[in-house]
Amino acid sequence: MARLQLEHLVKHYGRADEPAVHDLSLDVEDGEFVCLLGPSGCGKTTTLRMIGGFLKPDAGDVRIDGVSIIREPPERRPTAMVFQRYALWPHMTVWDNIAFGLQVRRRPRAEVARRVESALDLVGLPAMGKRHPQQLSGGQQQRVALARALVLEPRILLLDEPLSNLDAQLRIYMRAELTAIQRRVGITTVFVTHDQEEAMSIADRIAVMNAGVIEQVDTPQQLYANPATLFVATFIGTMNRLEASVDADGWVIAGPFRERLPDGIHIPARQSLVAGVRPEDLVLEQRGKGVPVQIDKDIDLGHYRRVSVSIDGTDLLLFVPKAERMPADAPTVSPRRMLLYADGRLLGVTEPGPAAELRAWS
Amino acid sequence: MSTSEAATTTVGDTRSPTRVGLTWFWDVPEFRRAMGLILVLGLSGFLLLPLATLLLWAFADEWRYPSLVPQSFSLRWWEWVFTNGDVGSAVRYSFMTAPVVTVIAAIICVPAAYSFSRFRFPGRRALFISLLAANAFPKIGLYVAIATLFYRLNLMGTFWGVVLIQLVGTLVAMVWIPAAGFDSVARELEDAARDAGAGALRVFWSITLPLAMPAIIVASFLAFLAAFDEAQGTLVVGSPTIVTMPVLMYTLVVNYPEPVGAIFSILLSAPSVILLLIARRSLLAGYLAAGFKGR
Repeated sequence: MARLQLEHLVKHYGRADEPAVHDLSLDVEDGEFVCLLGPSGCGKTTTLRMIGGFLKPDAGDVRIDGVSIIREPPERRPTAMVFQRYALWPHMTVWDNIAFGLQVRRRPRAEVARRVESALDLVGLPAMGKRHPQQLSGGQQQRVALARALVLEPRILLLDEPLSNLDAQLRIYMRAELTAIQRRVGITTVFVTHDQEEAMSIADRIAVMNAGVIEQVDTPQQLYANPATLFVATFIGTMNRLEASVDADGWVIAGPFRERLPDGIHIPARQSLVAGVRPEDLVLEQRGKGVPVQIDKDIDLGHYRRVSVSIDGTDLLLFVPKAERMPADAPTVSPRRMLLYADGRLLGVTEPGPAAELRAWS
Repeated sequence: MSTSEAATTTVGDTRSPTRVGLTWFWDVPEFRRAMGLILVLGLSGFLLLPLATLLLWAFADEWRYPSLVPQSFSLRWWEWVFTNGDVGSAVRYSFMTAPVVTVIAAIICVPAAYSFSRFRFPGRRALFISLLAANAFPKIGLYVAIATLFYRLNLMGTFWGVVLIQLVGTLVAMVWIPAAGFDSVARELEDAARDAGAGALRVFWSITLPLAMPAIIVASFLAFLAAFDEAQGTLVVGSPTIVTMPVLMYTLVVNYPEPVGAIFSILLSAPSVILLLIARRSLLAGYLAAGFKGR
């Protein structure tokens, strides 16, 4: 199939000081499923439209298998896009919608019929060819849009929030369906979404975008465990944020906690840091070695408990596994693992272990 | 609505909600039911009574005050109208000019409508509004001014002169309605076609134009009727050689008994009724629904 390279893409809409996309570079391997994830207005759709050819970047290059396609109009690019609102042509039947691209390419009639049928089979709508798009449900329209994109055997598949118009249950079902089809076809795919859960569940790698730049590209597990920037740390999952600094002995003071600084990291005293602790990385014990806290709220969510505690005006959120017993009195909290950020970038991680073993982050 | 509000605000109060003052009758259900009927009857009377009078006149032989219906009926004026040579040539001219005007209007205006809808150019809004200019003045003054120009161009009393003057009245509808039609075609639909490999021209013919077609057809109907019913400009520019049906009607109404005018009105309104029926059956039911529903 194909490898997609984005090199230093820049796009401005009007205002020169606020680029929609700024110096964006990204490599997508052959057959890989990459998500562009970020809040609305972060430039993810702009990036996708630049790959598809609908927007012309101000600078930078788009390459497929090393060949620049930046000068090609959308109709000549080997990319196919599934639009957010499906963009099925209402005056054509489902069959005609899917056949359109092949007819434009003047394929023989028999080949068109064969490929349209197999595309309909692929998305699980074999008998729907004669319907009109508006006679289909949202999920079915979604599948037709996918079939229309795949029937042309593009080298890159582009998906622009394709599941955002479906209701919650169908969305989760279509996620699985989409990944299954993508794996079967083995097509290099770029998927835009603002839904982190969606991105986490379908992507091989996620590129987290904010204000026109990629903050981090990594596997879902790495993004969650070691968010490279404070933005990623707070955007992905839930994170307790604590103001932190380093004292004269070289220890980190993060809110109520005192942890040893990892070896090999030198932070001048009084530099302000931010410490991030995942709710599940806070250990709640009865008369433990941690800091005494007051339990404010305890919500049983079935598979885990969501516990709010406070220490001297600092509020912390904890996720406690169902199996663990709630302390009857004198509860204490200690961090199992803490992420340290200076100027929004990850400095190091305090690792679990009795000695609060710390590791430098490169 | 007010009744239910009153009911919900007085929960636990057993008295039925009443309204005092000038609008008390709104709470009388019989009145409300009757209101709808009164409106329908009033409106249909307003619309249909003149038409009924027209029909009566068309078949009347003798109808004098104070009788409510004609004293005697006959078809002799119909016979007169259909055997009159002037009427025949007027019908012919009407059905020659109106279709030609419609086609030319479509050829000129649909691309203009597309440009107004899809491109942003300086003076776009001003131009779009300025299409109304022809309707801003008393038409007859405009036509006389145009006539002086036509004299110099040797267009007075010619077929193409009449076509040009009838074109004036069709421009607004033929640009504005298709422009709205093009506006309603989502850019995404065009993007999707380009993504599938279609060039700009193919996108226009396969996607944009078919989706805007209901609007273009409706506009064409209106343009046809505008040209078909146009009398003032055609009278100024066309007479005495080119006399269309509406122009002839002036002469007939002035010079012949009432039944002739009535019969002619019925003949003139026939195309409108037929086009309306086509529009209802084929456009509204099928095409419009396919094009604009479901999104």
